Amino acid sequence: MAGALMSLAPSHPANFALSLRGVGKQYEVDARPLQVLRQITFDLRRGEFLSIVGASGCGKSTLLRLIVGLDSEFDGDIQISGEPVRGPGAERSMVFQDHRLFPWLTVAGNVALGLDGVPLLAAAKRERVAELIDLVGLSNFADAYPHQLSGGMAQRAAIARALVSEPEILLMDEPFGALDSLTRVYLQEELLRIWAKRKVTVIVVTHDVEEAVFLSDTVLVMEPRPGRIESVVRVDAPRPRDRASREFTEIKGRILGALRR
Amino acid sequence: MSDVTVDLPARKSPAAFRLQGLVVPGAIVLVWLAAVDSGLVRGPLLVPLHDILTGWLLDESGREIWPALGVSLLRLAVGFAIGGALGVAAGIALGLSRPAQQAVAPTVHAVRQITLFAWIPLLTAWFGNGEAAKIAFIAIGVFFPMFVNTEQGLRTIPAIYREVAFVSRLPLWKRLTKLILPGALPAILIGVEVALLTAWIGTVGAEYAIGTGRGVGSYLAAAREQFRMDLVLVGVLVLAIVGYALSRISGLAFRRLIKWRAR
Repeated sequence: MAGALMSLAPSHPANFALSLRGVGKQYEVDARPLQVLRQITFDLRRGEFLSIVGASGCGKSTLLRLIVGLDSEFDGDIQISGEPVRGPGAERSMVFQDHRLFPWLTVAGNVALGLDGVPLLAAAKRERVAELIDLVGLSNFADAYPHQLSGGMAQRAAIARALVSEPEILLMDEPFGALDSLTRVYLQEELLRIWAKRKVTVIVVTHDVEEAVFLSDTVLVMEPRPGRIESVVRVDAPRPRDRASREFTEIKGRILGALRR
Repeated sequence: MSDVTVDLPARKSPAAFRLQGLVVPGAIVLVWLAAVDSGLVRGPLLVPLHDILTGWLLDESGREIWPALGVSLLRLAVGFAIGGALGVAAGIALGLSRPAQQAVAPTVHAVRQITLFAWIPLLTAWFGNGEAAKIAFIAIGVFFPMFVNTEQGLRTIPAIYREVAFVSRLPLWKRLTKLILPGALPAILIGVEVALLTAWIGTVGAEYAIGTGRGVGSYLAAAREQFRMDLVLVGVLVLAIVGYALSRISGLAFRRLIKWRAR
């Protein structure tokens, strides 16, 4: 097949925000290789919202670390808009389970971290930081230090830090896992509002199936030892989704069934 | 004092602590007054307390403690600035670069084992008996605690914050000013606290041992030569007060600079 034709093929990685081809990862444990991820292949459309669910130890967090560029030792191919991933890049950012705000910086200072690697004038940076703090509803806490924030507020600040550089892909590693259930539901709705507004491609790793169904266009179900894709579930239910609807429970049941296999 | 801020109501107030802390010195003063000032005990080494307390104001030789103190503090400041800057710089350089750390750290830690005062013969041989030897001596005393604490402070910055800096692709300068220095600051300030006291001991020690020039150490040496026990004790009292003040200053700096910590 000619190269020109390849680039026109709808399945070509350049047509996707993110493309994984046969991604695998091995660790050495006690001088013996341990396969953590095997043959992970999927494509993500621009603006798509993907969740990855799976039992602990299925390598879903490892997968996220490979995509964001924290770990460059892996097999297979990871491509962002057709470009292979080599280390971290401006088009990707990450929200961790622990908010990881620097305790010695204010909320505004922490959000500004996301722009430190970006060539912009100081005034433009300040404006962007203020805009993002406003977007996550923390305008009154811009000068607060992390220890003065609740868990939910800290996580919102972390989301602002990740989005301030206007990345194409937002990676979130169990972002609401450490929060109480009320705050979690509230932040899920907030995240969808921000996602709709910023038109960013999102991958959320979670162990909460309901969260995955509520948020995503697509749910990737992974199984452990070695971590691999068990199934891919499309969620076609219209938004905003009703967690109590039959359709919602049906999809949730399907994913839970896949996880139990 | 009533303007003491109390940040935790559950804890005993600092004022109460201070009153309890005065019990021992208070008792010593009372015994001293009763035994020596009353004339009960006499001897060339036992000086009436009021001679010591008034010596630095009323006695003509005693008043020389003030210019001596000024000279000593200036010396301390210069030596501290040099040793502190070098210590922090070396700590950062070695904390940033693993190869540099592995190549240089063992040597530095070995040299650190040399007792501070063992440097004096070397330093006077290199720099003579003047100001340079004293400053170098103070700087060496300051260098090691600053170096060790800075290096350790850098090493204890949690990996999770380093990952954030890596993912955000912070340039080296921003990494220094936003992650490394503030992250290591608590440890560096502990270094400052230790180094200030070392510097003060070093200042007076160098003045006493090297002997030329002015300063509290030279003042003490001179007072001892002339067998003025009252002036010796004036000097000792000044040593203690300055040492205490330096430790209070570093504690205050700590609370001022590290306000991001939940108390």
